Amino acid sequence: MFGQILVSGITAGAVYALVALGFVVLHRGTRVVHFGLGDQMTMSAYLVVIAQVFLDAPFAVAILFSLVLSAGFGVAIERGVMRPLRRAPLLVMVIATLAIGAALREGLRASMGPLPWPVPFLLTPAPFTLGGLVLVPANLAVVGVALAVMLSLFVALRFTRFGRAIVAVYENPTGAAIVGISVPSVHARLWGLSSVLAAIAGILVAPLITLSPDMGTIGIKGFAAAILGGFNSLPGAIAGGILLGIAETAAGVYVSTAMKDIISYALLIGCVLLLPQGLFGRAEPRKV
Amino acid sequence: MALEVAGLEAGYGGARVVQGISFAVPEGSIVTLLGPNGAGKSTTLRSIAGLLKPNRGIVTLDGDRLDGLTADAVVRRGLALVPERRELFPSLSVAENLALGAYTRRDRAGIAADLEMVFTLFPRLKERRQQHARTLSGGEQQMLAIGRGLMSHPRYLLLDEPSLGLAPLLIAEIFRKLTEIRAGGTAILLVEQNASAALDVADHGYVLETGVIQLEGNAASLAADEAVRETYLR
Repeated sequence: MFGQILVSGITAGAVYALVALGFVVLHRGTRVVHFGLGDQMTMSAYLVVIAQVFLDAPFAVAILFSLVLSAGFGVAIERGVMRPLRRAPLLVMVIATLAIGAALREGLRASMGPLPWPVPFLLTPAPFTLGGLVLVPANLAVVGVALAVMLSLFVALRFTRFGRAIVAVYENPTGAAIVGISVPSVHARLWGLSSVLAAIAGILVAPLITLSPDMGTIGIKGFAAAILGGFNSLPGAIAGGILLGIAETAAGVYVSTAMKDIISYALLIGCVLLLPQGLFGRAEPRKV
Repeated sequence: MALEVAGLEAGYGGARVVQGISFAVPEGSIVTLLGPNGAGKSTTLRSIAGLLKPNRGIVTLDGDRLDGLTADAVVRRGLALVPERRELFPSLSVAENLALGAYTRRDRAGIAADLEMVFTLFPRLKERRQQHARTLSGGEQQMLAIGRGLMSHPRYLLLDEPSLGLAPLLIAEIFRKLTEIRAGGTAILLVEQNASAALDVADHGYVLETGVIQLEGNAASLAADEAVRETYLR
């Protein structure tokens, strides 16, 4: 039983972890919490459907189409909304992200209708048993893709010029500028990166739940996972996501499925009250 | 060939901190900008380096206009700033900080040669190259900040108060290194409150007070000047 809970929990957790990474990657560099990220998950899943149904694209091409447009959308938010607002208080930027989310959600409702659309699984949803565990290939694909994405993210941050510039901005924006890094262009990259992470999460999760304009509410789970992980630590975001997925599944099994969401929010509130720096975050001394 | 500043005016919000100053740093020389706290020294450096947009004035580097460029573009033109607060990358290692100093460069051989040069200049950095920047002492952090600036292979290096918070022996050691850096072909604009240490190594000096240049001259004559002695050398 416990093994089964782990397996299901990790599947959900892998998706939460990707969204949490999307929040943290962006926030660490720009200080902005992007409340429209959940709705970008929805948008990206719809883009796959649009490419498949209306443009007759094969699944793989449809995914590529969605990822490219999603990255472009993130960069467009930075250029079109955040850069003009750069002298505005942080709160104004955060409210702008809420507006972007609402506009996406209602725009999708108006154009694609309120009814759910089918999104293909990456692998078959027909389960098989292995050593007493029921495994679903579709779910394993979710975990596999999430792991590959996380691994590539860490490799990119550690070893590429693109990644080193991001790390430098994370560490010290003034220091980054004086070694020759363009901080605004790193911000644009971060918006693109965060959007791609949300897009992957959205495309992975859409077949498992239903794709409707309100699918983005699942983004709140990613937000909760990011908070569990301290909101400024990338490994923390992953651990927070996995932990949240397992806790939620366990609550669904041992308490009741209706209580699942309540348990995860209780965990979030408990964490904020008792461990404000999260499980893995470091309390950052504010410079005056 | 020189870094030339003409009629520079800069400040924050409505406050005009720097009120129209002109000076030059000739190629291969050390020029010092002296003056009390709040005279506008750091503001001058920040405006030259592109961290602050000047309100008026022209900055040229070997004839290229620098004013109006962003900080990253200024680095690419051959000028590096070592700011007063050092602005290191605290949880990266000494080696990673130095590597980021060479961010604008692609010539691997040149970068490796400059890394060797920095390690020869400051052997302490070589010993600590795997250590996180935040665990270094104040003096070592200053060495790292200078080393990181040199890794962009600048023709002009701007140093903002390198003596700040350091013990006298360490100040002497770091200022000796400045003459070695000049010998390597990099000109230095040195902002200092510690006038005697600065005039010891500088070729030429300017005295800045409340945003205006009050005095200028070669370093020896400034060090001998009664007014300078009274105000800054005691």
